[in-house]
Amino acid sequence: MGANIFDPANLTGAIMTLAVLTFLIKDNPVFDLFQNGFVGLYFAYSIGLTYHSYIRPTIVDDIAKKGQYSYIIPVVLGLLVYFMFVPSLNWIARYPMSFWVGYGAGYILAFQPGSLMPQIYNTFIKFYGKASFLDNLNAILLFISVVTALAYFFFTVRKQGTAVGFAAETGRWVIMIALGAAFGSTVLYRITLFVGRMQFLLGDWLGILK
Amino acid sequence: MLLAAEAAKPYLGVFAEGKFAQFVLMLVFAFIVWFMVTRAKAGMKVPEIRKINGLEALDEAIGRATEMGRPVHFTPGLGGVGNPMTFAAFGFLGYVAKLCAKYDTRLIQTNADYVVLAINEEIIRQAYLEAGRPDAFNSDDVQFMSDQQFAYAANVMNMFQKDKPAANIMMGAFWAESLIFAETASFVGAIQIAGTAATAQLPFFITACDYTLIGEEIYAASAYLSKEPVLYGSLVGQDWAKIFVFALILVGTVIANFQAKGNWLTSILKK
Repeated sequence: MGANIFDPANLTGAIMTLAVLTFLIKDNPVFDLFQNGFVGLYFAYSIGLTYHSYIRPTIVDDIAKKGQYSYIIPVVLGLLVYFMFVPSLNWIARYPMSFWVGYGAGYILAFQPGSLMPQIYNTFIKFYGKASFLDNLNAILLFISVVTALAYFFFTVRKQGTAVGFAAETGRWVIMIALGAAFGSTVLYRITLFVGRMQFLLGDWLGILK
Repeated sequence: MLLAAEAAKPYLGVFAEGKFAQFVLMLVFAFIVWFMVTRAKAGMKVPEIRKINGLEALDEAIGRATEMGRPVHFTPGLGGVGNPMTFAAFGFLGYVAKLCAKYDTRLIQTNADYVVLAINEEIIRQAYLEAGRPDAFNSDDVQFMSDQQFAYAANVMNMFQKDKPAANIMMGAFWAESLIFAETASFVGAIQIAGTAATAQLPFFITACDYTLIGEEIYAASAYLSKEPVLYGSLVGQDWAKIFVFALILVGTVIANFQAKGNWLTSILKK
């Protein structure tokens, strides 16, 4: 399939990509125009999405047609937030906010610890009897990494020159090595994204790459 | 019928599979924290918290912005109220806002979540009130940018270019927008303090920011900054809870290596 420079979709994509890349030279009006256009477009899309996915189905379908009147409570709570724009009555907006904070705290307490137990007992591993010597070594490394990284996050019992201090210092190195590996893999992913954009510009749009 | 027959029987008639041990552990942690908070309230000695460089630098960053006559920017990231990192950011924001009010430095606070926006506005308003400067609070500086990740990032980039903050503080839950923020703030010469428990974003903060709080350190921030005995006691309690987990891992690993078959501690923790 040959390239089509004047295809509206390709042309729009290419102009927008190049406009965004101009930021690499310096901040400029072309970049600003497309940046603000992007923000505006997303904002309009969000309003449409929210209306069609949440507001309309809840009010028209759930409340009016199906008679699920309990849904009126969250609708009213949501509307109370708008009192923040009325200076003399903005205290009313604190009630839905309090509800949200309470809900958030409860949600964290109920669902976040769910992964704690498996994380603990999955660290109980044998250091021997695995398929190869490297697998055994890996198990030992995993154990050392977990306990030393945990020691790094002790805020009160850490003392220099003690076993906990040594473990915490080792943990710091373990964390840095892990983050270095994560950095490498993410940079690689970002380069892949950049290559994708270049393939679009030079292949799909200009047809230089086959 | 088949599903009903296969469903696991609740442990002790109440607990879903794997939840009993979790419940007991939560009670143990709650007791430890309560005990330490009670000690702190009673004025008994509580251990010192080790130095956290990122938090020590906060006064310096806001002071620098004051001297340069440029604003401070604070973002809690993309997390909502169901995210513990956002809760950590709330405590941090209160301290930052109070310092900004004290030094009469403009604080620009951007948001990607409308509920978090409303809460942050109240936190900042309260901080200005406590600092004795309610008149200096400007609600226009607490901004909702967009709930879409990259539209939010583009808007924050735009703000960096136009307002050129001298200090950029990023505390909370971040995803791929983290490097966009950090790079642009670095581009305009802002001193940067970041903190998150999102492990995928930490490497970017470490490379692009001046100070980075790693994981658990962001949860210690409120206690560390406020120096309030009750929060201090709670932090000490959390530390002891971590020591408890540390001990569990050591014991469990010893059992795994010496018990011929299975691991009785794992069986208990799976209840």
